[in-house]
Amino acid sequence: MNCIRCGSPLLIGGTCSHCGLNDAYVKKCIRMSNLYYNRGLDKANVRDLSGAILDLKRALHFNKLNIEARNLLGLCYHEMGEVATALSEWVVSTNFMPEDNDASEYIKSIQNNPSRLDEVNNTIRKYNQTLNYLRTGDYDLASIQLKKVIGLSPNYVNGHLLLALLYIKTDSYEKAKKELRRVLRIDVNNTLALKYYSELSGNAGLKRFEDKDKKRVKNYEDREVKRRDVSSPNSNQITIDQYVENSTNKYTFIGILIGLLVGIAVMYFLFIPQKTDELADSYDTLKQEFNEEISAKNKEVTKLQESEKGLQEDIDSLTKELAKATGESSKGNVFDNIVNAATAHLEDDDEKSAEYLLKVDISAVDSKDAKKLYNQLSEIILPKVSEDFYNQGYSKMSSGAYKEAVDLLTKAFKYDDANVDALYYLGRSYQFAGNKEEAKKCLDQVISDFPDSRRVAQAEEHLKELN
Amino acid sequence: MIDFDEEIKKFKPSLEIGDVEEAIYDTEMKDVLDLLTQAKLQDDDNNR
Repeated sequence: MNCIRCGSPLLIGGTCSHCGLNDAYVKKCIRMSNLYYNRGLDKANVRDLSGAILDLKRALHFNKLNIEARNLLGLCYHEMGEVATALSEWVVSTNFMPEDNDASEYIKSIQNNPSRLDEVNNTIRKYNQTLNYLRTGDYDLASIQLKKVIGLSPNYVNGHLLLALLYIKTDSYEKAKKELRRVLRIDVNNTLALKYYSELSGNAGLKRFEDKDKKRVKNYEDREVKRRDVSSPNSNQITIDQYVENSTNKYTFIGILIGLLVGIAVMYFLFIPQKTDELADSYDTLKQEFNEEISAKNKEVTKLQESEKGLQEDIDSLTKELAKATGESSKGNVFDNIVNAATAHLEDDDEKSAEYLLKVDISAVDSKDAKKLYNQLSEIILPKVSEDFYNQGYSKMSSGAYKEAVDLLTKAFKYDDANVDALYYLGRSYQFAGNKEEAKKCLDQVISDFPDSRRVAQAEEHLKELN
Repeated sequence: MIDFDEEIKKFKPSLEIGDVEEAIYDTEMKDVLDLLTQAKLQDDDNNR
C-alpha cells in the first residue's frame, strides 16, 4: 500500500516510508477535510457564503491538497466580488494539480476576457480608494466611489456593506437597509449585514427578513444547485455573476409587464370612464344650449307674430283712415266742381259749367246748401246746354255730317237724359252713318224709356227698316 | 449602536490582481498533516 498523502510505500504498521506519518492520522485528517468540505458545499448551495468560506478554510487546514475545497473557496470569494482572492486560490489549486483541474478553466475565463479583467482591477482600486476617503472623512467622495464600485461589480459584498455603513452615518436608514438586503441576497448569513440590519430594524425586523429570505434561499436551491455543482470534477464551466444579472433581467421584464398591465387597467377603469363622462357632459351641455337657443327662437317667432298682427292692425287702421281721407277728398272735389260749375256759369261758359256738373256725385254730399246749389245750377244749365248740342247735331245730321252729328247728339243726351229728341236723332244719325247696331240700341231705348213719347211710333218704324 | 469608525476598521483593502502572486508566496501553506510531519521529524531528531 502507498501513502495517501505522498504516494510513497507504507511500512509495516502503516507508517509512510517518506513522510513518516501514520496512515491512520493521514486518513483521519483527510476525512475531517472532506467533512468540512461537504459542510462548506452545503452552505455554498444555500448562498451562506461566509459560512462556506469558514468551513472550506478548515477543510484546507486539515488537507491543503483538497483541490475541490480550494476551488469552491475561490468560487465563494468570486461570488462575493473578491476576484483577486479567488484567483489566488485557483492559482494555488492549479499548482497542486496542474491537470484536470476546474480552477484552470476559472482562471482562463477571467484572464481571456481583458475587459472583465480591467473591470475587476478598477473595482478593487476604487474600493481601496474609498476606504481611504472614509478614513479621512471624505464621505461624499466615498459615496460616489462606492456607487461606481457597485455599478462595476454588483455582487461586491464589501462595497454594499461600506455603502450601507455610509448611509447609516448620514441617517439614510432606508437606503442602508436596501443595501443590506442586497448583501443578504448574495450572502444570506453575512455577519456584518445581519448585525447592521438588526441594529436598524430591531429583532422583529430581522426575523421578518430572515423568514422572507428563507423562502428566497429555497427558491435559489431549487434553481441554482445544479449550476453551482462545484463538487463535480467534470464541470468545465464557470458561471460568474449570472444569478444577479438573470434575476435583474427577469424582474425588469416582470416589472415592465406589470407596469403595462397596470397602465391598461388604469386606462380602462379611470381614463375611459372619465372620457365617457366628459363626452356625456359635453353632449348634455350642447343639448341644453340647443334647447335654450330653440326656446329663445320660439319666443322671438311668437314676438314677431304678435308684432306682425299689430302691424296688420295698424295697416288696417291706416287703410281705413286713408279711405276716409280719400272720401273727404272726393267730397272736397265735389264742392270744387260745384263751385267751378257756378263760376263757369257766371262767366257765361255754360258748356264748361255743364262738364263740372256732370262730374259731381251729389249722393256723397251731405250739405243741403251744396245740394240746393247743385240742383239750381243743373236745372238752369244742363237743359240749356243739351238743347244747344241737340240743335247743332240736328243741323249736322240734316247737312249729311253724320259723324259730327253723332258726337253732338251724344253730348246733348248726356247733359239731359230726358231729351228724347236728342236720343231719337242720335239713333237716326247712326242709321244714316250705317252703324245699325248703335242705331237699334238708341231706338230701342226711345221705345223702352219714353213709351209715352210721340217718337216711339217713329222709332218702331225705323227699327223695322233696320231689321 | 453602530460605531462607524470602529466598523470601518473592520474593512481591509482588497487584494489587487497584480499582488496575487506575491500574496501566494507570502501565504504559509501548511496544513495539519504538515504540522504532524514537522512534529514527527522533530521527535525523531530528539530521539537520536
